[in-house]
Amino acid sequence: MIRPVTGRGSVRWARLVVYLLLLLLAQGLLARLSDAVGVPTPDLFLLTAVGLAARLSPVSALLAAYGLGFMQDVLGGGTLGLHAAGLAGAALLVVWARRYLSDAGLVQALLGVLLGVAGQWLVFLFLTYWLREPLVTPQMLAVTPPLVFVGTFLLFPLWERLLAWTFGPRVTVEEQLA
Amino acid sequence: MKGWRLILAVFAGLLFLSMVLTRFQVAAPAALRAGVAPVTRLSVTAADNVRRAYVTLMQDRDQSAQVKALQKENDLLKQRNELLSREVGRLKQVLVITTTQAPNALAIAQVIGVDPSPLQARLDLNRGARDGVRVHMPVTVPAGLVGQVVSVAPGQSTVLALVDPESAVGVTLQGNRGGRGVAHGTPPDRLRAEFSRGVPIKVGDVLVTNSQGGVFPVGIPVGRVEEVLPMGPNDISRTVIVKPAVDVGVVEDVTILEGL
Repeated sequence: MIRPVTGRGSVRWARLVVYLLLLLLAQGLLARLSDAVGVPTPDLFLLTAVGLAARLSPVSALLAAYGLGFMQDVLGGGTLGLHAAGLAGAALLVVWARRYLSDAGLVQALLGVLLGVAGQWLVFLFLTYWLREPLVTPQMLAVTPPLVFVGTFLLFPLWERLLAWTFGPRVTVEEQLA
Repeated sequence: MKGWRLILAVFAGLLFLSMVLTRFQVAAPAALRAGVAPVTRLSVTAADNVRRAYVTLMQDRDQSAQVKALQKENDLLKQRNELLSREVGRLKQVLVITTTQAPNALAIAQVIGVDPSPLQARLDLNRGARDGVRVHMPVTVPAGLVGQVVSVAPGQSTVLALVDPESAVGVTLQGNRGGRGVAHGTPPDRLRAEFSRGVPIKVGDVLVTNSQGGVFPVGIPVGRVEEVLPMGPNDISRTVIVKPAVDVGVVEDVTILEGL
């Protein structure tokens, strides 16, 4: 159950459009800069999926995360469904854990991002096994997910504000219990 | 529990969909990406500008450090060049003196002090007994005679300049034109020389040292006659005012010669 952002429906849609534009812009910017530095890019799509999983009902969160990942696949020009399944996996773990976590705090943010990265890469591993292709190699697994986690976590405070501006505050534990 | 079944079922469905899509390598048409091309281009441009700005900043910092290092090196080289130039100047001076005045140069010395009295003209040199300097050694520069050493300490010595009132130098006309005279110092900056009446001396003549007194080598320039004083009826010698060849007030490096 999403808590609506105060304001008219058109305003919410406008905020959503602005958010998506900022998401594309910031992700492209980070990708270009991190390529130049030679480190994996922080994943703002993942942050968005984690943020949605903390705000929407579980099924809606899964569908939204999958849709978001699908958009990432389309814009990236890669195989469709890869990132979509990854973000759905991330959302699934966060949805599972959110009943045990409060809606704010550093540790909660850390665990949220950690579970998101873990869920995403578990799905990537599964798809690697399924496709019988070297999609994820042991070397990549040792380096990329930790760096993605660190980079993404560092951006979490800033991006969470944007998420709150677009989708409203997180669902509290009391609201979940209710 | 029932809720989780639904969640897992949805996830399984989505995962199955992805498995099918990835298995058949379904790719999105490029036209879909074209719609967001302006945003992508904007982010790439912004990132490139940020990267260039950072690179430029780093380069500027490096160049600034390089400039500082080069300036420091330049200062050191200038200082070294100055020292070498002075050394070359001194060696040239010795060469000129040994070829034109006397072959027995002892050392080059620097003037480290001057007598503050307006009535005296004495110079302190940074060479002394330790360097082999002895009393009565002549002191010269390429332009001419400066004076002679009158006292020696272990590390320094004092020179009695030609214009000091106590100074007396035997002189003669340059070019073997004859005549013997003695030039006495006349403060602040002139000499007064006396010749016998028969010497044909006139204004502009150059006086050089002669062997009188056994102190100075022969032929070192002493000065130029500036004025020939009129002779009285009872005078037995002709007196001339001589402008010294060397201005002791500006001398920095001098050469000490071995005595005769």
